[in-house]
Amino acid sequence: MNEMIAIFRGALTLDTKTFDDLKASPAAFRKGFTFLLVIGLITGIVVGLVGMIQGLSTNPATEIAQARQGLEQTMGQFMPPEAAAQFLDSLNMGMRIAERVTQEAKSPLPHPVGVVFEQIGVMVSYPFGWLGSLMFYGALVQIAAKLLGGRGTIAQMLGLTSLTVAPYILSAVAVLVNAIPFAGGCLASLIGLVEFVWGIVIYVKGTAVAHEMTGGRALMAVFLPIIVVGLVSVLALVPFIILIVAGSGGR
Amino acid sequence: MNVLSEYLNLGLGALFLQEETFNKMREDSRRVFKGFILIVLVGAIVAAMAIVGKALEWSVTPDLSNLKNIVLEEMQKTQWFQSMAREPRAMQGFRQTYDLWWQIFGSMFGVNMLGVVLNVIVNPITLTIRWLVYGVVAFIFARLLGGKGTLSQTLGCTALAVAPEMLKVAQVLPYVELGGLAIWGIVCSYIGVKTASRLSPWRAFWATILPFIALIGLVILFACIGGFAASSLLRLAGGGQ
Repeated sequence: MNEMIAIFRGALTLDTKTFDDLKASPAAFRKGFTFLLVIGLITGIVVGLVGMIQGLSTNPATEIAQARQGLEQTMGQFMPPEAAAQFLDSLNMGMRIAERVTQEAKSPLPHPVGVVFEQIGVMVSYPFGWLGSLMFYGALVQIAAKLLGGRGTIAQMLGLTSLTVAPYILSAVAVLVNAIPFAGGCLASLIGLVEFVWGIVIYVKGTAVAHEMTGGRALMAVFLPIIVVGLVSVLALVPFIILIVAGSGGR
Repeated sequence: MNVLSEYLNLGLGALFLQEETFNKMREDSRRVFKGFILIVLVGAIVAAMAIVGKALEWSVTPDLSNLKNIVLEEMQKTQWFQSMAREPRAMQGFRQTYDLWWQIFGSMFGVNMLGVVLNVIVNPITLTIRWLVYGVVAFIFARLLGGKGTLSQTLGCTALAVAPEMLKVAQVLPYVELGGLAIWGIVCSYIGVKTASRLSPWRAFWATILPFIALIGLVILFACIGGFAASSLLRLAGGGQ
């Protein structure tokens, strides 16, 4: 546990020794994965508990009635009467389905148990959501880094870049802050931005240490997959643009 | 119990990408047998664990046929449905599409307990077939790229790519989704191919990836052949009328 706290502190402060020690460790990937799992589970538990409280404290019938009222008001303001009548028909159908589903479609266990089960799923799945992105992008950056002369192994690369999740523990705070009326949403977005930028900085540092590169080269390796995908997309669009221009010019 | 802990250590070593585990497997005289047992154990245990998680999901899932009836009954009350109901052909088309949608919806959100239980047998078989096909194709590409490993060494080492599947034991809990395991499996395959064939990192990379590219090529080829055959049949049927 002490080791995890030291890694956490070192990752957040971009401490070179923490990154170097992890790279030198024969269990670099195991340590990185364990770190990701711990941070992910802590965040997931908070997110899941908030979801559980929200899910258990809301009454589906009241929610449906509020949604219906809000939509009817919006529709009356912005839609012409004919379109509003058609929309009302579909809206009523949707709302009646929702009402009947909550009242009539019964499962063997009651609804609150379902809410608890779903949030348990959210808690345990949370670190694996991060893992999916890190694994996929990490494999691409590993290729880019090797092309740029990197010397790290895939296990070192994935182990070190797992430290990227350190600032994402703030997501646990963001989900609590989000519950504050009015300013909560803005504050949560700001926290999201901070953890995203901080995460990128840690990712670049992890890549630089894993591959024994300068910061500039590591930055290039990190963004190369995005640049390549962007260029390929643009090149794929060029023939269509030429066809459209040629077509409009011929008229 | 010792045997089980031996396989657990083997799986954990591969899961954490420890090259020592892959090297040991390469030199093991019973590597193919060990690989096969590891795959069967992982496949059967995770599928058995998933029965608990899926049973819990089933216990809180509403009956889908009941939902289907509720949606249809409410649709029948709308004006557009009543005007459509005057056209028998439109109604027939609607009914077919509606049933199809519910089949797709059921397969996506419903819990098929029979399928989940059968998976205890099907999962190890699927994983074994995947391993054998991939192992043989990867061995061929590795040899073409100058690899020095034997087929049994390649099969032994690529069997360790099943290790990330071990994490699916978490599906003993309901609604657990595990991302990244497929890529993790490919990374394990890469280390397996590299270790078995003693290839340089770049050559091992291509020997790992080329079987997937070949598979995609084959799928596209068969899709083209299938599409061509289907359009020819349709044309023949059209000409016959």
